[in-house]
Amino acid sequence: MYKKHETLIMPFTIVEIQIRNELFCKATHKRQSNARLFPSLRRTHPVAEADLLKVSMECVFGLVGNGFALVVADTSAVHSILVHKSNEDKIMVLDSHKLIGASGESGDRVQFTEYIQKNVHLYQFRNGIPLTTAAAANFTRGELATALRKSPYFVNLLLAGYDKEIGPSLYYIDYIATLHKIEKGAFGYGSYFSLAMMDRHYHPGMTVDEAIDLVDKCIMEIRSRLVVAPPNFVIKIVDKDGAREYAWRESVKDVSGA
Amino acid sequence: MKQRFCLLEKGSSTTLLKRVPDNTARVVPLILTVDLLFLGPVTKTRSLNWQPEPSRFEEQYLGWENRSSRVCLPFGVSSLARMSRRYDSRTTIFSPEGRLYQVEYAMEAIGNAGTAIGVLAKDGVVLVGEKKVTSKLLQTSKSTEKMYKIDDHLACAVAGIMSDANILLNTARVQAQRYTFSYQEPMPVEQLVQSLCDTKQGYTQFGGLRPFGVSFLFAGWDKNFGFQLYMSDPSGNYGGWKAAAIGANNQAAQSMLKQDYKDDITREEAVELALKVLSKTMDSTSLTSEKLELAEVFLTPSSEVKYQVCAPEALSKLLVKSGVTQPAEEAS
Repeated sequence: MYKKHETLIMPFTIVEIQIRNELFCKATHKRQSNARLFPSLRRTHPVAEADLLKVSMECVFGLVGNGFALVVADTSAVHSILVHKSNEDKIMVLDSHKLIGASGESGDRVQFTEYIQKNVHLYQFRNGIPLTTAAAANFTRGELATALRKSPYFVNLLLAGYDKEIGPSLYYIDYIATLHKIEKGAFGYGSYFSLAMMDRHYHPGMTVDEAIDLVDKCIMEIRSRLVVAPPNFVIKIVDKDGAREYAWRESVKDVSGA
Repeated sequence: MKQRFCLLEKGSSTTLLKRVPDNTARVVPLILTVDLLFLGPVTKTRSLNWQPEPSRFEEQYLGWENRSSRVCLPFGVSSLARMSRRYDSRTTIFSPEGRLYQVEYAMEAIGNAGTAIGVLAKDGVVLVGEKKVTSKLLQTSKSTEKMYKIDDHLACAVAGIMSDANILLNTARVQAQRYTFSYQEPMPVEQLVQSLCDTKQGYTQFGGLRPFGVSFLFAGWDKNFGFQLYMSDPSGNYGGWKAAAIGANNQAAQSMLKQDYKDDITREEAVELALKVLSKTMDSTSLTSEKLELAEVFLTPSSEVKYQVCAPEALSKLLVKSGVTQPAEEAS
């Protein structure tokens, strides 16, 4: 059922599952295959599979500035070696003052971010008050964590938001439900370059202009140093006036149009 | 021939029993259950909820006369106005006047419980409660028996059946922790009140069970709306209040609060007001710290929410200070 190298990558989960299976079989005096016990194992275990793809070819990064937070994402829809589309928006406006930039399996990405968005909206309708960015981030993490042991989503998220009392904030949530509050962060192959650039040039309390300058430096670096660099990027920003699209950085026009 | 008994009422004072042939029984719109159980076989019809309007009823009654069915037995006096007997055994069925009697009875039950008063101040919320001393032998609980902490930022005072209240308090605490688990933030006060009231409401709509005989006063603080005071009853209704009373004499207390409450009072003034109102509504003449509970929700200087129960000694001093008890009595 598993290819050997996968077992090596995910010794934890698989050993754990096998032990559980054995215990179950002992208890019921039945021999059952892993696949029958855990339907998700019929294919490769999703977590194990995800681990193989841990670093995607996407580039999503973000940072917190003075009174704002911004998220940048590439806009390529890639499958295998093919680029299907170069204007795919991977940053969702979660609510009036929240942005969520996502990378990962594209189906999972859309499904999961929409699920979170709808839940955030539902909360607001039910209670008349919006979730704070911290609450939304923790909720998102919780949902990813519960899914992780059932049918995991392969999505990495950067959640940026602005709260009246707290100001701007940025949260890093990865597909194994890690949550960090950060000032700058990145996912995907692009992260090797953008993190390096941000380490060098980021400072707390950046103005919008400075931050956009840094974003452009990051994009430049990605485009010039990464073999599989995506051509186009979208920049979104959130501050006291709300979450909105800020700019696009395009080097290829999508033929199919917007 | 199969006979059926039907109970008819004329006007609003007398009830008559008619003996009618089977086929005509269906025309009779009004068949009563309880009184008929010991009178003989009766088919329950769909008309249980039907309320006869006097004019229509008269018509029906005359119609019967025309069919020459005979009145066989005058029945005991039961007036139409006292419809409650027929509908009050069901929690989930409206009476013809549109009331849910079991719910009203539950509220009645709360009227016998010790009073609890809540007052909202600009810098906190104050809850006071009367501990009913039922027997001299009874060990009064060391901890509070009317005030309960639900979460760090939220507490409540209870009036009613304590065993019911314990169930609700447990769900409230679970809800509060569940929220914190999901969002890593304290649950907004109104949301918790609402979730608890949803539970209460369920018992007024889904049959076979008794509603919770409990009223609550919730005192809490959250970052969106600051200090808040809510009152809830067995029907599942709740509302935000500046000052509220539940339990025995709650109406008297409520009207006193209405008179004496001023906007923007401080927590100290609120304590004084609550103690004064409670002393006046309580049956016993002298108010002592054994019969009382006082709790407050407020912000510490480091702006953390704090729920604090007043110690008996401090409470005795407070009572003297606010002039509710005489210092001479304390000394003697």
